[in-house]
Amino acid sequence: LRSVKILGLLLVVALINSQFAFAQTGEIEYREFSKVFPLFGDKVTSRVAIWVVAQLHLYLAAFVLAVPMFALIIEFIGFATKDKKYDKLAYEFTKLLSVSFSLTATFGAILTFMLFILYPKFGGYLSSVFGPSFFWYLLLFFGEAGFLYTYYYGWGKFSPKVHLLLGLGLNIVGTAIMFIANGWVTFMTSPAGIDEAGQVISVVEAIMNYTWMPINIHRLIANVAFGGAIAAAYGAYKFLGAKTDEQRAYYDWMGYIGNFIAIVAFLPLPFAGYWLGKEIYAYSQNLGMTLMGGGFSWLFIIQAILIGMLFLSANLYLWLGMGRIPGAERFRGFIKYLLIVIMICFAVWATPSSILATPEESSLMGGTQHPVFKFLGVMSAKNTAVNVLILTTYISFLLYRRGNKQAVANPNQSHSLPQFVVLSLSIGFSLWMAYYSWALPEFAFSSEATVPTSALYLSYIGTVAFVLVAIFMASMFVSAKSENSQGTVSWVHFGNSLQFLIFVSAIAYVVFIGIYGYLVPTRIRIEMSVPQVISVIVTMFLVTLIDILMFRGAKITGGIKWGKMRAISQYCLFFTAITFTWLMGLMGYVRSGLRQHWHVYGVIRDTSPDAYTPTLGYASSVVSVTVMIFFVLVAFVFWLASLSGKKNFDETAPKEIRM
Amino acid sequence: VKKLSAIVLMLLLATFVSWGLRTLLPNNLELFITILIYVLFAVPVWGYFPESTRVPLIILVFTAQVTLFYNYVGQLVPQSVIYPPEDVKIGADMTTEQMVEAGRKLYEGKGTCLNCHGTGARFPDLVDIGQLARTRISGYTDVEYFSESLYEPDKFIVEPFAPGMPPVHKPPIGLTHEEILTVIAYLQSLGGTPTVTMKTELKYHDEPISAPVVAVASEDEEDQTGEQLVAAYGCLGCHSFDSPDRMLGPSLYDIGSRMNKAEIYESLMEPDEVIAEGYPPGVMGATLTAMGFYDKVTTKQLKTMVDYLMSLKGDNGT
Repeated sequence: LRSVKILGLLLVVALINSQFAFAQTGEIEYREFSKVFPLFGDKVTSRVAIWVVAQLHLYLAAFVLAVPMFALIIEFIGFATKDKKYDKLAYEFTKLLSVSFSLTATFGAILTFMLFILYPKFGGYLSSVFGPSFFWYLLLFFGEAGFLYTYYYGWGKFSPKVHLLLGLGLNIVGTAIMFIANGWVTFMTSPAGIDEAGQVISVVEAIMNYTWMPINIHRLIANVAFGGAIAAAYGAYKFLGAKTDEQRAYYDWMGYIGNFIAIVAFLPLPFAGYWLGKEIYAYSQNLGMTLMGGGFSWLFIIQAILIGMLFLSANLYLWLGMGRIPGAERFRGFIKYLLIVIMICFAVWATPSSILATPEESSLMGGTQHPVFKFLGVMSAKNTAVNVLILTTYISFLLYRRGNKQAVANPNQSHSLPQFVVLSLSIGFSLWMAYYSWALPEFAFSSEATVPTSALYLSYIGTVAFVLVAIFMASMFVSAKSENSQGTVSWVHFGNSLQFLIFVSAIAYVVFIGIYGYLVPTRIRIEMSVPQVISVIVTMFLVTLIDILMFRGAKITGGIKWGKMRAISQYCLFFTAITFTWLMGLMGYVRSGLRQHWHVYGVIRDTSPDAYTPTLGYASSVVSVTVMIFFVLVAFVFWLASLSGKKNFDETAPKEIRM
Repeated sequence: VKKLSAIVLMLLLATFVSWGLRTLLPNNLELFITILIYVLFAVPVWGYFPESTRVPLIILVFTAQVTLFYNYVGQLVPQSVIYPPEDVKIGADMTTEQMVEAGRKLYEGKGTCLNCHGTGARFPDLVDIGQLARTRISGYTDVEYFSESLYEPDKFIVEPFAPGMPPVHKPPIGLTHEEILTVIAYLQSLGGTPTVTMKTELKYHDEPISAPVVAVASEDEEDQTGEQLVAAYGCLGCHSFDSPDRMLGPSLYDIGSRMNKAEIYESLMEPDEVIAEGYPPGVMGATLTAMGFYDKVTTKQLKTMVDYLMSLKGDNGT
């Protein structure tokens, strides 16, 4: 709790300092970091200093907010299934929390200090707008400290239900803290609640600005993905240093769970990102164009490479994981095809729309765009690639899941629930289709641009039609199964064929929309990404539904041999964690750098010597340094967490026992 | 001691080799290859490292190499620095050529026009706009068309594009009237002949420019006069200060002879305590709250305003 007290004290001092700075606005706008902290010489400017500290604070905060989420879910699974293994895992995750929380608070205090020391005028302005919310933030912070330490130290000391409630409280307070801080950050990009002179009219409006909710959702999901990846890396670290098979089995399982959480949370992330991008465009076309079409457009190529790498490592981990599942070898033949598809999609996704070329090369190509590959560098191709990538990764997971299962029919099974689900879905989607048939033509055909907008209409209708056919297929499976409950082979083949058909039609539909996207204007193309995504989500949902029904009561061909994993698989987990961290740093840069020479876009101009937007190479270097510092801190957290399991020091014991 | 010496020796060797090779290594990959050299030299003495340090060491090297790989990717893409727009000097006696040149600089810099125009897909390409501007809206001259497009961009949208351009005299662009004249000169020059001069009057010239600069109550604002403050806080919207005419609220032109300082202070801070006859209660309080008056006003400003109001004695006083 000491760190909390220190933070509280520091924040109060910072607030007083901010008022002091506020009063001095006419005199000092900026202070140079090299003069305040001469330790690093001129190499570290004020901007870099605050950039690194803010990013480190964000990394740690993301971890501290994410771990309680899945710790609570895992604890709940343990509570519901009465399996102690889950409870132990949840506790193991929670052990990482207490030191991380102190570090987060420390970096938060450093960040606050640096903001008011290095940017007194801007810091003063932020506190003049958000002053009231600071106190709520502090209050919640104390609340979080209370919940967190009671949750951690109270493990096994309360009744399970009370303990679960404590975990729930911890999550609610943590999320509320993030939402408030997000208000400050997003205000800088899309200010609201102020008049033309920048004076605050409504603090609530200033917090709930245009990009607030998209960032909230984006960060919430991304935190889970990031936290899962770091927790998986902890599992990997313990696995590699494990002495016994039992330890290896346990930490292999821990790594698997962490990675599973990371990947599941990662899949919807691009869509949350699209929403954020859409809101940025809606707030200011100028900002939107700077983001996607201006100096930052190449940043998204770097992002594509990082995400491609994430998909590759996620798939590789699953394929390696099949090695510990007896019976999974029958699927090994599929891996090469999956790899080919992933590589093609990766290549498409990382293709830039224009290419760096010498004047001779440019004249040969007839411009900076390659005559063929330029078609792969646009949104239509990239959206298609990422949707197929998601489906491919999902297939890898499906094969992994089926590894040791052999479907058998269980004549006693009741199908009323699945039938009900399928029936409800059918009715729901029929109504949806009816709505589109009725509502869309009105705006699709009445405006002047009939052809492109009708494309949107057709693509929506196409999705709904696809979904209906897919549901129809799923319902055929459900009814076929119940009628044919004595057989074992017929419906398994039938179910597999249906799943295959749904996959093929989804991919065909995704590719069709991708190609259609070339024929319509940008606005329609962006809108058309929605039906594309819907078809992918529906596919995953229905195929999972069929799979669960098909493998309910399945014959297990052998238990998973946890711990029988090659060491390289654990490096996959590290790779995923490092990639996530680097990606987060990069996207943090673009979110903030997007404002270019503004502290608060359109309200307070950055007039410091650092007002320019640096090169992407420079930004990459800063991100890399930050990532390395973060992992040194993570190593410290891991080491501290592992101390708790060690025996107490005993001076009288012989040396070999002491060690 | 032997094991430690061997490790130190190999470390020194690795340092020596990487130092010797440093000029040969490509800049972006220098660190990446240096780490590889250390790894290479660590292999023969790997068995000498204490067992508990081996796994963390491998993980550390792995983390550094993956990070450096992504850093390398970051160096491969085009590198450009974007500087804040430079100020363009505008003079009242600029020639047309000078205006076009200044307008071009603003178009590419502070005006941020190039962000959206010229890329083709999302907003109109302005390559022949000097010619097209005369025909876009019937009855409009090209200057009228340009000024409307810049000051009120949503008023007329070119098909099939969607609205989205901000008024250029407001933040975040915040061009001055003079700067806008030079931008019009530049736009006219794109496929046409510039006719606009620095003396051209646009119908928008009475509109206030909101300069996108700071925002905090500065020393200057603290030093504002009472007259400036009642204007800034919108009092003029409901009260008359120079005649006994009734507006939404009672006239204040003789308030100094009707009230004392304490009453004026009370009327400002708690307007519903005493209501002038014939006026609805609650209006002033709600208006001032909505405008954020009570959050913004400082003690010094309040004193200045009260002093100013006290000085208003009506026809008898002045």
